[in-house]
Amino acid sequence: MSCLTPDRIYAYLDGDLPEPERLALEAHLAGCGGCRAAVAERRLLAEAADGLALIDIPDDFAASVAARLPLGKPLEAARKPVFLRPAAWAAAFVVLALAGAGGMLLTGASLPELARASGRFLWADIQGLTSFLARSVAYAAVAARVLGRLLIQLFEGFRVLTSLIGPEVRLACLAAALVLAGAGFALWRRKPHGERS
Amino acid sequence: MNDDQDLIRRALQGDGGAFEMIVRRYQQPIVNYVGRMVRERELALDISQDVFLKVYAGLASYRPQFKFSTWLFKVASNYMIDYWRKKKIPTVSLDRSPEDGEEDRPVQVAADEPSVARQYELRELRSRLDAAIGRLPVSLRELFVWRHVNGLSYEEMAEIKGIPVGTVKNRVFQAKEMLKNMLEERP
Repeated sequence: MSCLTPDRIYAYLDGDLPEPERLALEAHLAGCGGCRAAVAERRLLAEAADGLALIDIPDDFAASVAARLPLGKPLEAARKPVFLRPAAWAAAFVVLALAGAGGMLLTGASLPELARASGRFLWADIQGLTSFLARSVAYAAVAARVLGRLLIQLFEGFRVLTSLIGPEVRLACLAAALVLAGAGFALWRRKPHGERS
Repeated sequence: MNDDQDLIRRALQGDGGAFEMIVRRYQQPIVNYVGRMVRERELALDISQDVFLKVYAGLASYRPQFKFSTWLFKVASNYMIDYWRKKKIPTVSLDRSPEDGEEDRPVQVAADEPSVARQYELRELRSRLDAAIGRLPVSLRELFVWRHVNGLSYEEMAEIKGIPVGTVKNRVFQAKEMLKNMLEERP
């Protein structure tokens, strides 16, 4: 077995190594003073860290937190999605009933007539929306076809242009593109990320 | 603890005394965590008070299927992230890999005796270690403190931060190696 890496030492000290690996590691430790010292050093640091002094807290700490509690206000419960709230369903029902009653009063129509008229109105809306969606899809398909032809022309132009340059220049271009791609990837890897749990 | 659920239920019903008992139960771990992060006792006490007030304000969103202490540390950690942001102190991403090949490099120790131990007595070592913790990057410091001061498991830490257990372990190892290197520097 070769000498230990720090992560294997920590895994050993945490008791994370499987039995055969632990035994092999201990056999190595028996014959390697450097690794033995490395393990002892890290064990000592862990022991020192585990025994760090506690921070002294004043006796009235909890009482002073309690004194600042807004006890008069009710604690806000976690908000459920709207469709899971009974109040939202009740409100929707009330709005619908009021709209129906208002419609009956204003038009003088009976409830079934009003329901039929509303249904026709809604159905016309749905039909209009469907027609609008179908037209949007058709326009998008035409736009995609035009864009596709444009790209083909661009590629063709690029092919003609590149056929005019010599093999050395092609190679140089290829190398430059590779270097740029590599640099871009390296920059992206080094970009710091914010942290938030 | 099952007692926690009872205290939380009572606190949710407006029992301030029950919440005070929750504070008493968790004040030491939270102050130890915050204190080791900000390295100033008075400031740590103030922040810890605010953390507990935040906990109280959000108590209704706590779900009993999760461990209360884990949720508590999550609230505290989020508070600290906002604190560092306001102070404009950068936090190192936990996604960052260790330096090239750092983890695979075998250790190099010259003699058959711990070099850190050679330099310091345990008490002095603790005092120097305490100071060195303050020089760790914030995100590594947090994980190290949770592990060694608060005694959290890697699984709990992973749950609090929402990252894989393996990543937590690697970052704690990285923090320990940084501390070891700091302690090996001559004072």
